[in-house]
Amino acid sequence: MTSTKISVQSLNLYYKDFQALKNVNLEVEENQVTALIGPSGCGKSTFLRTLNRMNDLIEGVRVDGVILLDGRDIYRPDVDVVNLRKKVGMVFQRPNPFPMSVYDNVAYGPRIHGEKNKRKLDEIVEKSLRAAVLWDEVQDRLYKSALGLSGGQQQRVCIARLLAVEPEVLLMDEPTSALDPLATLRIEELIQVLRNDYTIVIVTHNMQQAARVSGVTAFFLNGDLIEYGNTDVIFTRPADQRTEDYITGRFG
Amino acid sequence: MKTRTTFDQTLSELKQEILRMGFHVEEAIYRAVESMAKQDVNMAQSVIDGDVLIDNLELEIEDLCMKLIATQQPMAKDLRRIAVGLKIITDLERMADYSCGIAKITKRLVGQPLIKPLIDIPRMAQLAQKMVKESLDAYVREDVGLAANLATDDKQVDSLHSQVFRELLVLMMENPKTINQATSLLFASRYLERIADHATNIGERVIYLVTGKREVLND
Amino acid sequence: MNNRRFGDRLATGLFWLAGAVILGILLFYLIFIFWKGINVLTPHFLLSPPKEVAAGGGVGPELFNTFYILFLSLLFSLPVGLGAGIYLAEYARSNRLTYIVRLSTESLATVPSIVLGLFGMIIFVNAIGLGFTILGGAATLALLNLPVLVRVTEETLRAVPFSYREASLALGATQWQTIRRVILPACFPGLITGVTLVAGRALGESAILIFTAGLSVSRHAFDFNLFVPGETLAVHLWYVNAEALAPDKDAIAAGTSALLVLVVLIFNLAIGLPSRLLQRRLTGNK
Repeated sequence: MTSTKISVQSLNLYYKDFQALKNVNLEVEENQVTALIGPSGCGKSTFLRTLNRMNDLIEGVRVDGVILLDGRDIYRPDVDVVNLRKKVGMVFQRPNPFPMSVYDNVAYGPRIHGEKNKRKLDEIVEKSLRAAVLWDEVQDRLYKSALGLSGGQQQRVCIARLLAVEPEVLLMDEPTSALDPLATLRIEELIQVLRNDYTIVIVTHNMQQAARVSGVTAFFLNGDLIEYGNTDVIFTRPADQRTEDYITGRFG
Repeated sequence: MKTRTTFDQTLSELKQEILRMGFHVEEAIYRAVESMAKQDVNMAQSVIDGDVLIDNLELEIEDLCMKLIATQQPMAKDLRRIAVGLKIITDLERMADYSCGIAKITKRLVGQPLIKPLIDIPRMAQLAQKMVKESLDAYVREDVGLAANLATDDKQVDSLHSQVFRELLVLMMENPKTINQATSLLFASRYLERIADHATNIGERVIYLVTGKREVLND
Repeated sequence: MNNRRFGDRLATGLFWLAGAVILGILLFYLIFIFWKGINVLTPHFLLSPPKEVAAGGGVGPELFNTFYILFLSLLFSLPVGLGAGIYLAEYARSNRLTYIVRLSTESLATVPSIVLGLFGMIIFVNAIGLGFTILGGAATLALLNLPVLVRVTEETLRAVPFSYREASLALGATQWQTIRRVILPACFPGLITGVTLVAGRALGESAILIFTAGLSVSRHAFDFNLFVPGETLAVHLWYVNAEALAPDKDAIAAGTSALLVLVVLIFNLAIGLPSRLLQRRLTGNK
């Protein structure tokens, strides 16, 4: 039934002399929400960023190991990073719409990838905004700046902007940490809807959120992947004492 | 560094409350059977009256559990501790009901000479009482060994029950006039056997609480 | 308790006073300059050529040259300045080359304009042998603009949140696409402000132009020829005050001052207003 979308094998990541990820092995299932949890600095965000090579932007980062996306290694030298990021998109911690209109934000991706046809762009924008459950709220103000929207709406603009380039995998780096509880719940609902069509990997500090939205949970500590498995198992009877200590809030 | 001190305090409070409820249940079992042996109506009545107290304790503990779930978002072992606590109080409440049942039988039998001296039934009561105590000790101490031991006691209670059953059956066949009292005593024996079963339920949950695995102690 | 409150009030008062002093000085200057010069600003004064010994000369060619040289100097310095700024902000890694480029721009920014003027004279007027020309003046003026432009561009680009870059790159954009479609539009208002500052400084510059563009003007009105001398308003002001023989030279100086201030004001408003409107559209503030 489930098939592997991303397969991570013996992944090590070094930042200068510091080893931020230690021999991580993990399989990300297709059309599943995988949550990455762990204390600050445990490497979960770093790990997320290896999946679309956003770590390339940081000087001094060295990666070894294998990450297969649909069976192909994304760290091979002949891989086109631009194409990779088109397939594996990312939503960030703080909503970061560009300082332009809602329409231009969503149309940004298709435009940089060469779409010029106005009718086609209109279609993509509407479809993406509908998929991000935002269309009804912004259809009257498509041509006004996205920075005038509320935080939750801005984050959904970012998700729509991402959906517009038709990625296969959505990486979300604490997507609700800057949002109020109601906006958070709306994003979580959206994740549930999106999971039917996309493979989602989400980093979250909020364990309740991981429990609510994900099917699989992975627990990181000090760069090690301690435990990963079905979310209901991790949250009711984790196998490792360190996982237990973390999720029960008794982390020393 | 210790985190969640308040939560941990409330959790141990929960355990204390469950122990308290268990103490009252033990007492009820003991007094119910004692009243039957001594044909003491007042003692039987006190067991029946005391049931309200146990019912109230159950509701109180249930509220405490729900409060903990709602406010502390327990996970993993904490969640299991509370969920198991919720199940345990149901078991305890049933035990109290069975004790009441025995006390009611005592009241019904008052004035009738007993058709046989009560030997096995008080032994069953003793065992059941011990099992309740041990199952709760196992819960509070999260002691898997103690919980697993309950299986042995339960087997003993079961065999005592079938012994009582056979004896009463013989009496009834010999003298049909004893049927009325014999069926009552049979019920009392049956109740005690059920109490022991509930104690093994608690033991099974303690094993789940500690290991996360399901095991059957009562077969 | 009371002491603290008194200290707070005192500080507030002092800062308020400092602000008022600045505003006062500025207003005094403006009023003084316009008071003396505004009557001189007739259409005749604005359009006709200057006269050497007789009264009634204007500043028409100077006005034209001021804008022409400014335009040319920006034409020379903008591509290089923006380019270097973008390079420093977006592409440069922290190595020796970057260090040297940054050091050079900073040193260039501290060079007094008179030194630049003499340098321009040696290169353009003497070595290349152009004589006093608009081209030489504009090219030397570009040297003055350059370091400020580089700095302003780099600072403005750096002020753009890293999250924009991340977002764009994560959508599969190339670095150049990111710069052109997200970063530059986002810092457009800032760049405009920077250019306005540079232009304001260039408008009032005299020391550089005295030695490179010369003190005389072409006989033709609105002469676009790059190889003729081209005196600007600021230079004319200096000349009139220092060496002119015309009897009405005080009035001409006053008029020229007022005109120069007016030009800078209008220039700032003309560029600043649209950029503020643009900013509003970008950020969605009502």
